[in-house]
Amino acid sequence: MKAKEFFRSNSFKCIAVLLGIVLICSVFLTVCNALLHVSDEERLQRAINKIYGEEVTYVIHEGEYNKFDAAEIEAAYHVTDKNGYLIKSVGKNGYGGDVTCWVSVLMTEDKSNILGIGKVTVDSAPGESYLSKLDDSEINAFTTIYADGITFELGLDAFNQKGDQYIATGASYTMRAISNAVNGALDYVKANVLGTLIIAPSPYENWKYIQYINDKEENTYYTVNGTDVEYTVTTTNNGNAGQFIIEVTVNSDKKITAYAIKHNGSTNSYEEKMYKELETLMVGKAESDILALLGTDGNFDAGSMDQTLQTGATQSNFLCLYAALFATSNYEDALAAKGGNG
Amino acid sequence: MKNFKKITLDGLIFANPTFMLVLGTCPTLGLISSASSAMGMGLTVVVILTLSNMIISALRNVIPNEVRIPSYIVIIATLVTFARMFLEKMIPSLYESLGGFLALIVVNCIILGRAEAFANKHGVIESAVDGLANGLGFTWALTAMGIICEFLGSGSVFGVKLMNFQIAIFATPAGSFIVYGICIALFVYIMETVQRNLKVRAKQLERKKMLTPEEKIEEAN
Repeated sequence: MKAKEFFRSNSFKCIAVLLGIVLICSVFLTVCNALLHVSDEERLQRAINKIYGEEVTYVIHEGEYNKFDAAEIEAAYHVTDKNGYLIKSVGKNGYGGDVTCWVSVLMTEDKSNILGIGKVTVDSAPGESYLSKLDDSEINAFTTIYADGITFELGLDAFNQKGDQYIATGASYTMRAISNAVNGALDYVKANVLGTLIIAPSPYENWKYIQYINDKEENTYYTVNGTDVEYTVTTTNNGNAGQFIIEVTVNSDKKITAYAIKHNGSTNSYEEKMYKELETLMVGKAESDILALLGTDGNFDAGSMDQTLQTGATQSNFLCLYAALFATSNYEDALAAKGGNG
Repeated sequence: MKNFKKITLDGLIFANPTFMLVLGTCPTLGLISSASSAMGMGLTVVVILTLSNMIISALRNVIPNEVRIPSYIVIIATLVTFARMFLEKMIPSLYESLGGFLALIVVNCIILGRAEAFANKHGVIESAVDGLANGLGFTWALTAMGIICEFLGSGSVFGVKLMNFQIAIFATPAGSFIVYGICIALFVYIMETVQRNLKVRAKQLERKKMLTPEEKIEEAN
């Protein structure tokens, strides 16, 4: 085909029309983006209107932003005339992405302690289709929970207590991420204002299988008893499953001799079955046995579950298996640190 | 004028995209647990559907047949992106309540379906009327089901608490599915009954026309 014929052909017309449409649409959207872009300042003003309902005086608060388990802090403001802090916190583990929230933390007059959570609003939640199912009172359940003296040390305790209600909304993942954002905001204030939260480096930095382990020394620790290593392992969250606290004892053969779930992060209906099946199954298992349960990709697929674990709580099973894997695979490291760190 | 009336009635009732054609099921099931979200989604679709129908109709002689589907998708995606930007800036509460379903309008069967079935064969004004009618048909169907689901699921309508009760399942897509199914059954039943009655009436009229004057007097007596 000659060049002249090509330019007269239907193929060229198709390409030209398609490119033309794409070009016009791109220009149109570029102009729209310039006109309709929501700036950070505008987002802050919207959050202030939602939370305080009036103009407030604030100054930017500088602190350690990204060192919290549950959330990442994007910005923090000291709201001087309301005696509190307004924190933009990104809660992890939402459905299809993270959830960005504005959290108002109220302080006592002398700023020596946290008084409670003032209000929480959602800034953005990409992929969270069911956000509309959570009304303002549900999102702000934290206010009451904190006022009652329940802290967020276990992250999802508040969620688990109200789990059934949130699951009925169909937005349980979203609620988990919002809960994480609130925890992150509280941690920020504790670390950067009160100084009560000290961010220490993880003692398990070079250990194996720590991706689902809460690696803070006060949450995951161990003692050495003769040739046995006795672990208390706190897991992270995983999807619908909250944190577990599991006691695991590993002997000199690097096999589990005792396995007990001390805090259940699953929803209540699975609790009894999980305790029964997992505690029996784990005893006598070594690292390779647990890896076999998890499957070659370490993802604990449904096939493995059907054959061995039928608790119905797949995400919780996953955390429990990783706790066992952590304990068995790091036996020598634990033993090498004479007497343990617990 | 008669043609516009037919297009409007088809979009609103006789070929209602939600109840008769069962199109746009994904946002329907996802959003009808709240009447305001359902109405917000419906109105957003009205704007996008009307504009996309008009643009596609205007370009129907320019776009080659071979690339019509990708061209339609690019046009619809642009309009949806514009709607997202506009709502986020101007009506953030609606933007938040629609969530991920707003972006999914791009693949809403009603929009692509009307572009393919109507807009690329008709003029700009007819296509605009078709888009408006189908969009409004989608809106009233979603809003009606939204009112039912919200009332059953939380005892409120448009966020206003009417009664202190709730049947939790109706606040979930499973409950929406039940309500959707029942509404389709009822709508189809009503439409069939109406059409049957209209046919009987038409036959009666036809029969009357064919009667001789003597027979007409006899029937009147």
